[in-house]
Amino acid sequence: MSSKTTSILAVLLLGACASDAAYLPMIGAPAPIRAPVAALYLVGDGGLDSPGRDAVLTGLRSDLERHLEIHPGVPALVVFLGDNIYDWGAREGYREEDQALLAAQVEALVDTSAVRGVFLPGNHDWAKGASYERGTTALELQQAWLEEIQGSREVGFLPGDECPGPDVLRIADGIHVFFMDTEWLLRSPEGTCGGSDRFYRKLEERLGELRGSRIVFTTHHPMVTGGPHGGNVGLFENGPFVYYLAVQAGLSSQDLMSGRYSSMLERLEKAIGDSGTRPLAMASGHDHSLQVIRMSGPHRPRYQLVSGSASKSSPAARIEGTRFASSSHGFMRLDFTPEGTRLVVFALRAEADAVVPVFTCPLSNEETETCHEAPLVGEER
Amino acid sequence: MSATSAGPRRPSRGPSSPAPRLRRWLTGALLVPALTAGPGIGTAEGQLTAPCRIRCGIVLGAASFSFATGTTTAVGRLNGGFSRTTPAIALWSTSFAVSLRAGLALHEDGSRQRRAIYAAGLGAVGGALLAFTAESLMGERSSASRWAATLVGAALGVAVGGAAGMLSHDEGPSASPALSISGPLLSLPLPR
Repeated sequence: MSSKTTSILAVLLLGACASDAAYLPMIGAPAPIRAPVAALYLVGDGGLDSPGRDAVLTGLRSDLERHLEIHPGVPALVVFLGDNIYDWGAREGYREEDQALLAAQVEALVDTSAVRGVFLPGNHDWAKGASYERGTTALELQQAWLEEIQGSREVGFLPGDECPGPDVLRIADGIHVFFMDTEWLLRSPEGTCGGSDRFYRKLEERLGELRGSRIVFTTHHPMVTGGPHGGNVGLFENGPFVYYLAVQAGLSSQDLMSGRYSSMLERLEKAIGDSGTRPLAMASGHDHSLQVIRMSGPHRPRYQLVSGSASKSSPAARIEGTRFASSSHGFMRLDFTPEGTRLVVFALRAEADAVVPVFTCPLSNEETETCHEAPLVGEER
Repeated sequence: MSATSAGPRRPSRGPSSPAPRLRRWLTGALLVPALTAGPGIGTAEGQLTAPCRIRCGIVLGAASFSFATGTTTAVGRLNGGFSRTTPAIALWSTSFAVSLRAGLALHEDGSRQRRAIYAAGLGAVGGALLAFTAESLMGERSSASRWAATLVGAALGVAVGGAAGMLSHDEGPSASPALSISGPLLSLPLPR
């Protein structure tokens, strides 16, 4: 075989697979945090009945129980970051199976007043690209089902009224969680919810009012990602070659490279920049992986946390600012103390057959780097 | 309590990931021209003149692929992205079938067909290179816009190259292109 042919084959083979970062998981569990004031759990894209999902929800429940045991009375908020029901959101005609997908997630919440659950809408909850009317019907149905199955648990669907929000929840003094419906923002249906201008104005105002607070955005769509929605797809891995080209050219409005997605991000960044308040983190799902990414620029939250692998899994490449990435099923937890914030990433480890902590780091809104990149496989610890 | 206690597990009835559907659509797009080949011609290959059957077929397939992908890219980018897979696949399949049929429709004039197909192929490469260079020279552009420009440029190149190849003068049997569309039950010569 000539060297030219070998080079062409090498390029094709390298491009045939999506890039997947290989980080070494941490050894052991992080020490319990002292005097936390709140815990925020981030669980995304859990709407598919899969063995991975069952393990993640079991792991979530046991960690909630452990949290309540070590820190009784300290509130825990669990945010389900959208795509709560695959593939077409809630459908009345398939009530039994669709409701079971939602019920499994609700039942992972410990039934106590210290634990609250919030479900955010994702693109699949909006009936996956169907008309606005079909999408809102699916959202209304999901909200009604949540009320039906929550029992004595405190569970909500935010933002409400099929509008984009932002709805804001104070989980402790100086700690606020924003809930935003980014699928609504991508669609920006005319004549509803006062239009998207109203949303961005409201976001800027709320951020301005909360200057000095620790703010976490929760949305379904991320700002940056090393996953397939950010263009990390193989030449033939995810379908025919034309699919690869479509992703690279930004043909799906669900991909970061598309016109609609880019302009939504530009407007979010403008609202943050104009408010003068930089959120600590943006927690999202959409890509089915676990990623911790430090973002640059004053107009973006300091960190992007992608936690979208509760029931599905896809590769995650190491991109600019990546501190940790894994394609494993899992979830994340943020521990808040009066002094700081700590992130713990939990992932399903095949050898342990359980969801265990694989990465932890302190998150700070300061310029000084606090969250250092995990060692890559092959690197010295 | 797990999901199993809430109800028996059943396979989802809605379409799953886009890839299997995409494969079905692509198979359809490839089968349509083959199935609509006329009775006198037999197969799609029969509509490519000797001696360039295989080579012409490959170039025509590649040019049609470029044309369909570029057309879909142009429409998708103008709308800020497709929110559903189905319209994108339908547009791609239609554009692919139209382009393929256009190449096959010239089968009555062998040299003109060869010229049109090769010119479309060259047009795709030239258009893609030109559009990529132009987009790269336009300052700070995203990688997606460079990809989109390249794909749209290739499609324009196919259209321009194909038309130029078809209409250029040659020593062939006819001064103007002879087109005919064949179907299983229909063979219709088009007016010159």
